[in-house]
Formats: sequence, C-alpha cells, structure tokens
Amino acid sequence: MKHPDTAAAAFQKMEPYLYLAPCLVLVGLFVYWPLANTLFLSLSKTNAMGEAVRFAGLSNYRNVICSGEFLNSCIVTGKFVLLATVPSIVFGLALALLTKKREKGTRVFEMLFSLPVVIASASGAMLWKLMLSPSTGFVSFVLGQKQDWFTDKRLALFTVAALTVWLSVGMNYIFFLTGLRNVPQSISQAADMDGAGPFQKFFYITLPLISPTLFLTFVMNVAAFAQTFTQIMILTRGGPEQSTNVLVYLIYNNAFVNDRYAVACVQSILLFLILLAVTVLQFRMEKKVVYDS
Amino acid sequence: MKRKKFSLGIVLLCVAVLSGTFFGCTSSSGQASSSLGNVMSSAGKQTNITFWYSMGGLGEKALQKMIGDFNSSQKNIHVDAKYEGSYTDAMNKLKNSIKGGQLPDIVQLGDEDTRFMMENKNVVPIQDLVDAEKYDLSTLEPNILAFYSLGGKLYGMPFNNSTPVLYYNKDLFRAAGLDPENPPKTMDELIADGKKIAQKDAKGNLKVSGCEINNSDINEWLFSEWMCLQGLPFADNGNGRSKRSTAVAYDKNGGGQKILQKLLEVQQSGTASSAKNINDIFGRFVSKQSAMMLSSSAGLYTVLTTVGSKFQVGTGPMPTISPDDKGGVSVGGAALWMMDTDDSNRQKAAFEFIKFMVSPEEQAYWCGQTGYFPVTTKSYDLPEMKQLLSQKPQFKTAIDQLHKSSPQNQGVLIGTFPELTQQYEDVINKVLSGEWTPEEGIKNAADQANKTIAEYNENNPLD
Repeated sequence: MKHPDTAAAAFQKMEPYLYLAPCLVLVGLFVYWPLANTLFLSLSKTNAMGEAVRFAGLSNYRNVICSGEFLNSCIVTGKFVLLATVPSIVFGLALALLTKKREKGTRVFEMLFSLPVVIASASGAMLWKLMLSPSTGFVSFVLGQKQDWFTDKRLALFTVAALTVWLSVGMNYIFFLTGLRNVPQSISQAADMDGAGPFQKFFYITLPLISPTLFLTFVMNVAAFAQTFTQIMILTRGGPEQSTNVLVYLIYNNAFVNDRYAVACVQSILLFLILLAVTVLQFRMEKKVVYDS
Repeated sequence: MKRKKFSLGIVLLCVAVLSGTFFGCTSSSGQASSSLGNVMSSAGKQTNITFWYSMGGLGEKALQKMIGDFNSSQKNIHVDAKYEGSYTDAMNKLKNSIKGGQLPDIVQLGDEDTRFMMENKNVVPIQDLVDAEKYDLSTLEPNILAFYSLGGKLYGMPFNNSTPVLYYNKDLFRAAGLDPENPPKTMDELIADGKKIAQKDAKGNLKVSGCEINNSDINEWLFSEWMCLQGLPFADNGNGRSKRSTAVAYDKNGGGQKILQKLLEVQQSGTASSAKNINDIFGRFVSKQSAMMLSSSAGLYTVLTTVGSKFQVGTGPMPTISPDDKGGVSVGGAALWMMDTDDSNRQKAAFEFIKFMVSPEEQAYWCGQTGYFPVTTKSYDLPEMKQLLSQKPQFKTAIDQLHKSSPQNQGVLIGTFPELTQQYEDVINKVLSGEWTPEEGIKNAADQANKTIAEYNENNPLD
C-alpha cells in the first residue's frame, strides 16, 4: 500500500539515517577509521614517522607475541586488574552496606565516600607522588621511615593499585548503594521473621538480589582497569624494571617514545582481542552467577 | 506536518553543530595559516611566526621574557610561542603536523632528536640561512656548533645547552673534614668522599648519602658523557657523524663496562640512597640528605634559588671514570630547528628571531636565569656576564668544562637514542641490583641496541 505523498515517504525512510549521520560520522572518524588504520599498520613495517614502508604480513604479530615485553605486560596488567578490582568491589560493597540505611548524617558519608571519583586521575596521581616521596613526602614523615613506594620493583604495582582503588571506590560505592537500596524491604523483613541472622541474610538474600549490579560493576571495573594509563605515566613510567608496564603504557611507549608504530599497532589489536575474549567469557558466566528474578 | 518540520529542524541543527565543530577544530589549532601570513607580509604588515618550546619552571619565565622583548622591540615580526610539554610531546606533535601540513616555524627539540631532525626533509638547515645572509658563526662556541653540524653544515641552532656537573654541599664537606673547594675529580675520589660523609641512623639506614648515581631521568645521558670523557666513541662510524651508525661501539672498546663497573662500586660502597629520579634526588640534595648530586648544569639557577641560604652550593666538573681519562664532555640540551613552511618571508623572519635569541645580551640573561651556558663567546665581554661569574662562580664550572673539551669529543648522533635510553634503564638497574655483572650488562645492552639500530636503518632508508 503506497503512501500517496512519495516525497514524504522517502523522507520518512531516510529520517532515521539522517539522525544517525552526525554520530556515524564522528564514530567513523574517531573509532572505525583509526581501527582500520591500526590494523593496516600492524601488518606493515613502519618508519619513524609512522608511515607504512612495506607489507609484512603476520611477521609483526609473531615477533610481538614471542617478545618478552608483551608477555610481561599481559602478566602485569592481569596482576594490576586483580589488585585493583577485588579491593574496589569489596570496599565499595562494605561502604555501601555501612551507609545503606537512610539515617541522620548518612548523606554526609555518602558524599565523602563517593568524593574521590571526581578527582582527575592525573591530579590524584600527582598528589600521591608528592605525599609518598621518600625524601620530602608527608607519609614518610609520619611513618618515620623512608619507603621506596614507586621505585622498589616489588612495591610499585601495589602502590599504583592502591591509588587506583582509592580513586574508583566511589564509583562502585554509588552503584552498590543504589543496588542495595533496591532490595525490597518486604523480603528482608520476612527473613527477620523467619529468624535469619545477618550473615545468612547477606549471603542468601542481599547478595543474590544485587548480583546484577555486582556483575555489571565487575565487568566495568575489569575493562577500565585493564586500560589504566594516566597513573602509570605520571608515577612510574612503566616502573622499576618493567614491573608496572601495563599494556596501554607499553603501546604508548612503543609508539610515541620508541617510534615503533607497527609494534604498537599490533599490541593494540591484541589488547582489543584480549578484552573482547574476557568480556565474552564474563557474559557467558553471567547466566550462572547472576540471580535472575 | 508539525512533526516533519520538527524533524527537519533537528537534522539541520545537527548538521550545523557538526560543521561548527569541524571548523572550530581547524581554527583552534592556533596557528596563522600560511596564506594569511603571505597576505600580511606582502602588504608590509606583521609576519606571524609560531615557536614551539618545551621549557618549564623558571626557564619558561625567562624564555617568555625574552620572547616578549623580541616582540616589543620591533613591529615587523610577531612570535607566537606555545608550550608543548616535554621534548617527546613536542616531537610527536611535530610528526603529526608534518603529516597534516601545519608546520611551526621554529621548534625547540632535545639533543636526542638531533639525528632524526638532521635527516628529516621538512627541516631547513640553519646553514642555508647563514649562507644567504653571510651570518658570522665564528662567535659561537665551536664545541656546541660541532655537535649540531654534519659535514661542516649547521643544521639546528643551539639555544639552551649544558654539561653535566657535580653539585655538592660545601657545609657537609667541611663537617666531614673534606676541603670544600676541592670536589672529587674522579669516581674513586667520589666514592672515598662519600664514605667520609655518609651517615647511618640507629637502624642502619642511610640518613645522609654521598652521591646518587642511578637517576632514571638522565642515566643514558650520563653514560654517553662518560664515554666522551674517556675519549671513546659510543657508536661506530665516528659516533654516527661520518655516516649513519650501524652498531654501538661501547662494548668493543671496553668503555661501557668500565662505566658500569664504577657505578657498581659506588652502589656497593653503601653511600648512595635508593632515590631513583631527578625529583627525589634533587629533594635529597636541597634538604641536606645528600652531599653530592650529578646533574645538568641547566638546573643551577633552580638549585641556588631553592637552597637559598640553607647551605653553600659548590659545583665541580663531572668526575672521570679513571684518573687518566683524556676526553671531554659533550653538550646536552636543545636547539632551535627551522621547519620548511615553503614561505621565504616567514623563514627570514624566523631566522631574525633565532639571531635575537643567540645574541650576546639574550644569552647572558638566559645563562643567569637558568645555568645553561651562553652559546656565543661574545656574552663573556658583557658586564652583566662578568658580574654573574664573579658573584656566582658556580656558573663558571660548566663553562670551563665546555672550553676544556674539544669538538672531537662531541656526543653520538643516532636516530634511536630514546629507545636506547629505555633499554639502558633496565640494564643499569639489573647491574646495580647484582642480577647481572657489568660484563653481562654491557653485552645485553649492546645486543638490544644493535638490533634496534639495524631495524631503524632498515625501515628508515636514507634516499
């Protein structure tokens, strides 16, 4: 059944695409074209200007995967994600549980706990760098002993992870608080009447009911922490003997300091594939872990 | 009907916002487009030139004053100066602008990028303008000119140059029974002095250290300077000057191992703390927790200003590896490079600015405000320079050290210097922690470096 007014019909068909056009152009320019370019460069040998010199096929990939530095960065990134995600979630959940009830003065604590989120990671990193400086730092003065927080290869990753946890706990806290407050009162009251203790209430009722929030936070945290860069750049620059050389910093270093654009492109593609695989794994897990009411 | 008008309105709004963003992007790059510059200069009005610099802190203040003086001293040329972050950031921005087309007229880049800039086709060698105007280069320091020249042709105009010096705390020296006017001249003397000065607290931790030798910000620079002091080349092919280097030479001539050996001895003497970057080392020195500091002479003004009257600061030449080293120091720092904007008016204007910046008066001012030594010998005739040197003799050390060296001692020119710096970081840390011996360290460093150099030469052919 044809619409009598064909100009209007054509417009109506095109209309959604016209709305999408600006967004598509921006995304195309800033996401898809660079992705295609990166893929192309990863298959070539590049010169110091970042231009492709000749086709190299998969030899770049072979070199990178077999190189010690890529494996080291994967391990460091994995360690860092673990060191940052677990405390972020645990502390975020603990703080949310503490301020769950809307009592007098809760508002103040809500603000205090979520405040670090608004601090730019660069500013936060600079702050910690000054505070933890072994010779002139406030922390060294208070503790009375000098500790090489950032230059000791066994400590550096923990210190950076601690800073990251401090910066991101607020975000998790906000999510968990909302999730906890959405647990229907009726269920917890019914549990109380049945004589459930606080631990039983937590593990059998609260946790399952906030499991969608938990899952979402976990996925977001892993993806975000795997791409940390700012703190590493400011605090350790890959760290004492590569102990904080996370993947994104490795890519930056190879591309912009060492002029090895092809290697950096390969590593970017590999990072993308790794994160893709991890996310797919996580969503496969979702069905088993998240309680679906 | 209403809905159609509304939809159309939204679409037009989106298009307008989008195009506004793009036009905003191009004009917010902050550089006068070359066509506009042409029109202005041909009409006899001001020529605008852009200058990218990477000085921060007190150096930036001095630089801003010099640029302001230039702009207000005449009406034909206006310099638009932009802070570009570190030399690495400036280099990356430059590479992007080479691909994108909007080149700056002048850019300040560090010595590690010298070879890359010399080989780059978008650079206008300073020699071209020197020849065109018959500018007299003889008043400039020959050692510095030698560093930035290849085959007798000057490529970049040296502007802020320094040598490594030994800063030391005269009060701590006196307290330890050492002669405050006699800083250690060799590394062995440095270790001996350090042992007298170092103090441990009750727990056995180092309270006051002698001298730190692991400074991640300048480790590779110090290494290459020690090669120059030994009179040995860092890389083959005349340190990359007669031809492009194909391999490093510090392993074969033994100089590298001697350096690592001496650094290990300092570490083993227990007189160096574990401070590893310039901020921590500087912090220790100015707070009297460390008696000596090996660093660039460019920080002298900052050191003196920070220390104030807390203690007397002395400067001495960089200690040599062994007492009979016959070499000299090479200059570090940065130079002003001219980019080929295809506009001879702007190039002439840029050269006018460059000439101003290396004039005796400006260089004398610059020296006093930073610690970089003047690139022109004529600065020493000026009364303000004579006054500076008599009131603050610490400034003399770097200058004397420069004059004792020869053009033959000038440092290596190699395109992959930044990457070699990183490889060396791992090497020096593993050697100082005992994981590798100095021999293993040098072998590893050389193997990695040679691979990097070979790959660079393969992917960046000189045609």
